[in-house]
Amino acid sequence: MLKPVEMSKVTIIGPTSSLAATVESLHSLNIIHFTEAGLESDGIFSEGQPMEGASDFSSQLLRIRAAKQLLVPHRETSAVRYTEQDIDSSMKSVMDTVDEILTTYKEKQSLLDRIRYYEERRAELMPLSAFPVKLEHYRDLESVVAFVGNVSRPVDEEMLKITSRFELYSNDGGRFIALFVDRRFTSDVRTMLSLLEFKEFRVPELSGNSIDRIVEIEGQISELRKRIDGLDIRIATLSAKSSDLLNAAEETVSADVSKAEAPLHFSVTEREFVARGWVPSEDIERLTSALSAASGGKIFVDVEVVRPASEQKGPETSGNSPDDSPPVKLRNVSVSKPFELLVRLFSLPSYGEYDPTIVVAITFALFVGLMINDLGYGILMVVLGYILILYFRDSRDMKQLAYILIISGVAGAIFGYFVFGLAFGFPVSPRPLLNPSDFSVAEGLLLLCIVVGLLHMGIGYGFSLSECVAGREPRKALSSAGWIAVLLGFVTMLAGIGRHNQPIGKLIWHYLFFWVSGSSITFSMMAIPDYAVILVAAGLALLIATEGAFALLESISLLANVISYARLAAIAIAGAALAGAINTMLMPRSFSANPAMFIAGLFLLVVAQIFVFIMLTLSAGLQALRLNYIEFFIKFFKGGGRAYKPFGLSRKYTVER
Amino acid sequence: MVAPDIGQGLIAIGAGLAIGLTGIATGIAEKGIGAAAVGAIAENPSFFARGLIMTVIPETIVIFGVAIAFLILGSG
Repeated sequence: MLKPVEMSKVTIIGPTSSLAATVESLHSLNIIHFTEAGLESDGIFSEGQPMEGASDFSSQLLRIRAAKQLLVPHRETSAVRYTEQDIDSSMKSVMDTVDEILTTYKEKQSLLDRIRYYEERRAELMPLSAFPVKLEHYRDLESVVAFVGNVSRPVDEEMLKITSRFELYSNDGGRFIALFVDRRFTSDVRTMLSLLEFKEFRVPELSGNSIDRIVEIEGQISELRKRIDGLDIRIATLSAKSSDLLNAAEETVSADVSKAEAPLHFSVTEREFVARGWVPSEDIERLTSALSAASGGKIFVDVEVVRPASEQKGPETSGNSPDDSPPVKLRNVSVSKPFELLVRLFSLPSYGEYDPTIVVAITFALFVGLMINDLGYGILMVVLGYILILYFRDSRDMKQLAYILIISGVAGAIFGYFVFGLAFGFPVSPRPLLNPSDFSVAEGLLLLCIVVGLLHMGIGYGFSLSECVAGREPRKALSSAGWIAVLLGFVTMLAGIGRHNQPIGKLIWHYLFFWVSGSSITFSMMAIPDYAVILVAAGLALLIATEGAFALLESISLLANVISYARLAAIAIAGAALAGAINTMLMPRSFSANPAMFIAGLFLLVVAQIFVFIMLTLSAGLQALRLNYIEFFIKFFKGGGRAYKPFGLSRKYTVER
Repeated sequence: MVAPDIGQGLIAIGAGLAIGLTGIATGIAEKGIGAAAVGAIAENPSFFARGLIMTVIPETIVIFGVAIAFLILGSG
């Protein structure tokens, strides 16, 4: 469970005649991760070509996906399951449906274009609608010329200076004008208007009353809208009727496409093909027996088990280009599986490296639980997680996030009831273990968190040590041991300083550091146990010997890492204090006899509680993540693994037979 | 209510300053990193984890502040 699944490199060689059967069989096995065809150097092999029909399948898939995009989303009726045969036999009707959806969409688009056209025409007429002039009169008059457009200020006075033989209609405070003047004054008027920044307005080449035209256009627009509504109804009916079918068809056709394109991963000659890939070692048996059954024993499978680089003897053996390393498939129990999301967010472990998921799962839930430490908020997290699961059925990442939320919420609720005994900041438990507002308890809790940090980082160094031992690297192993000694020394020092704290510090000192002698040296008023000094000194000596003097500087950052775990207690106490403060301020308001005050108080209380919940959950999640990424992962984790993507199909909408 | 003596008050102020000032320092330090991290994540979401790590590194400053505050309060 601590390491990714062991992979074997397989080379499949067979006659071209069994190529199709091989691809079919590999696809249904869904276990081989193809490596790209590395062409042999002697030039006999060439890259495989897609099988017949590949481009047809691709264009079918493209159309189905386009149609699916246009459907109205609706809740899946997951009860319906099509078999592959169903889809194959009804392919023609599927494609007819696809065509219908696509044509309906095109029709709708062209109607929308026309609406846009009419709306533009209407916009052109709108400014003229205020003037009682027929549209043809703007251009057809012999002795009169019309100026229509915008000016920077009213023109009446300026016009009177030129002539009184004019007709002026204006709108928008005199800034939009339709001016009709005797043709003889054209040039004078033009000069005057240009001084007023006249911008000409193009009058549509229509005739009749502009209001009548606008009414006509609006009639046409509403007619078009009605037709669009009809098309929308058609699309909605099609969605309800065929979206399951389309999902299933998409799945089947994309499987067809990937099967038809599979030979692209192969090297071929005229008579045979070679396929290379990675298969989990435990599945090799299944692979060989399925292939020999499919081809009647004509296929040869060569298997090479690949040990992780750290376990190989001697310096780097087989090729080390990133594409050559085995893909990584993590193996985790179902409870810790969701936490793979958090590891993947950082980076996938490389092949043969420790998979920290299980440790992340335990510590993340523990840390968040400790920081939330409230029955009410814990339950709220569970509810939130459940809602997320309901809403994001399709997204694996969101589902995993939801499970993480639920698991951490349960931890928070348990801690909340038994440790602080709080729900939404109100005391609920008759005998809580600790009272967060007691200063001495808070101090002890800080110390406890630091000890938790010792375990957490100790596991990290343990992983690193074990990898160095397995890889026979004594120098690195010794330096890991040195770090462990320094870490233990630092925590012993802090535990020694806090040993008089009641009750937690005393308990920790008594049960966890019983092996430390009582003698200590006093440094700046703090009693530091001798053992701590010895451990740190010994560790540092080991580090200087293996890593050089630079390690001295780094050891300071380890001290920072250790103290960093104090944030667990700090956030737990801050959260409880915040909720408590809100309740103390707002509860008297909520129980006021005045109904208005009662409602206002209750409303404020709920809003404030939601605020605390969001703040606390966000910061607890981020801090728990940070402690894992920075304090824990950096001690051993390399990452950079390639995800294992088997050739095949994870079915959602179809069944095989 | 008994008037607290001035020494206790000064200790409380000291603890408050330790947390408040380190909090401000953390904020200033995280400001630039956070902005750059968000930019990087917008370009390539796979930077999320690294961006988060870089952003929260200065948080250790305020944790030190909390630790010091407790030491000050404890010594009083």
